[in-house]
Amino acid sequence: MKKTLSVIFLAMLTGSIQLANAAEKSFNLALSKPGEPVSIDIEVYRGSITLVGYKGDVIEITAKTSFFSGKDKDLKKVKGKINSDNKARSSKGLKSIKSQGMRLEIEERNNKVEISSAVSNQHVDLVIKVPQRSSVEVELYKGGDIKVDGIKGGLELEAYQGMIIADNISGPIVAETARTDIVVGFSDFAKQSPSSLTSHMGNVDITLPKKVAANVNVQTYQGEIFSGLDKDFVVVDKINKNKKGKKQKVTLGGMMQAKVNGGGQDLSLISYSGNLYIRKGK
Amino acid sequence: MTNQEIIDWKIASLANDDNSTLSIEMKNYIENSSQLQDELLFIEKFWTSDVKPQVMPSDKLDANFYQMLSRAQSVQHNSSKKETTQHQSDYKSTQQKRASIFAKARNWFIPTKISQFATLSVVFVLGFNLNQAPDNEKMNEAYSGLKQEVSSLTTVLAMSMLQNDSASERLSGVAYSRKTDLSNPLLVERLIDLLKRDKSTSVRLAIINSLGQLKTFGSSEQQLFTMATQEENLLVQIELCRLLLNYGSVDIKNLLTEQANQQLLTPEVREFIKAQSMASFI
Repeated sequence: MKKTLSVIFLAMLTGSIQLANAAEKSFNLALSKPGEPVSIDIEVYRGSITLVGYKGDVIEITAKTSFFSGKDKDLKKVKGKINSDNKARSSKGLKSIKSQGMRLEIEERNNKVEISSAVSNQHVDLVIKVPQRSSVEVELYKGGDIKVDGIKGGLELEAYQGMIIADNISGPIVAETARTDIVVGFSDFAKQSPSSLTSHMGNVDITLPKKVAANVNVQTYQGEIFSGLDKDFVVVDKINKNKKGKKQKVTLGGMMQAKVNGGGQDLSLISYSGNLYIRKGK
Repeated sequence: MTNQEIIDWKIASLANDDNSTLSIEMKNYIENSSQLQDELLFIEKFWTSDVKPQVMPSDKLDANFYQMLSRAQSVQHNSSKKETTQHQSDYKSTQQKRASIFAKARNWFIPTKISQFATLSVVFVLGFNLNQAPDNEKMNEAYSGLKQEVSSLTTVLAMSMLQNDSASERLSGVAYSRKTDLSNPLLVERLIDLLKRDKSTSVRLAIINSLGQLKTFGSSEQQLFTMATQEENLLVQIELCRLLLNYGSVDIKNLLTEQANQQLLTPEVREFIKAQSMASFI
């Protein structure tokens, strides 16, 4: 009972600290070349990122930051190394003041936008409205998820701890997670470049519209594959024949492929131990 | 000295960013071919132009490709057209013959007609063979020349795209490299270099897949082996092992199996190598 109470107290204390230190700011960024292609590069050490595409030419950024008071093994390691020779000085009679300043950098030049928060003890939740045509690159190291909705440009998403959830997109998309899932709902499928979704230990779940033509490649080593497509998956065997008849190479197995609606651009789903889900949309 | 050698020199000098001087022989060769001058100029312009993400290959490149392809097709078409014309005339004459076959049948057996027919047949067969052989050789030469030029342009395109910041564009570069026969050592070098350092697992896996096209790994085999044993990315490590076990030399396969037996690799990789070895026995 005593243990339960202390846990609740700790949670309340943490909550109050985070509330006291939370800061929320919004910023509208006008593009220097309206109507032209936009590229957005976001790098956040800790937090979550939500991107929503809309028919506009202004980038609307809402950032909510709070001091990170949780445990972080990596951070401890870094602190330990840095402080190993410098012992903390006496703080007797002094109050601890947590930093309330929001540290978020935003740069724009010729429609190339860079947003970054590299501070390890700051948690930042970003909600960004971007022009639908934007091509987006996101790297999120710790914290929550990357969510994308309604962006028609190219996407490159990397989340090391959180999930990647993209909906109503057309790609091309290259996404990667370590242990978490990648969930993608396509509204269309871009033909200009290949798309690839890789989760080392998480699941990959996609929904493809009925009309889309693509070569869907799947490969998982320890997971399972579930498909709702009409087209069967077949093993891609490589047969390289030497013209002179000296040597032939035949490789059986590896990747499996389904040529959906006659085939088209490559869409690869790869996981080591996660499952792969391919769903048929409307 | 051939066009191909000059084009390869151009690609090499652009890729290595050096301005190595042309030999007098090469200079003379280029001066004598305005078509080659145009191609070199095109390659240089394409290489030095800033390829932006989400932008498809330039119209000029497209035009050049389509021009090349149409030339290649026209060579093929001419070749097949001759055959088609031959077939058509045969068909027409057959139709005409069929219409009056009974009326004329008796005339065929007149001795003078038989001798005329025999003489005409001999002349036709001799003429056909004498005329066709050099034509086909010329056409084949022209066709293989054009195929080489298209392959060179695909190599240029692949190498340019492999340098792109966008992972999706780099995936396109890998896909283009697969369309060549990887006969250009610079392209192979660039692919292996990218395999070592690219941050995207998708790109690295696509490169490994492409390298399976090589007839032999040559001096790169040891590099690939070192990567396979030291790689930290499990998916990449397993695919490198698969590549070497499927296409590597016997020595490298033995070395890799030995590494697995001595438990120098992770359990997952050891399990994979064991499964592959068992599959090869079946």
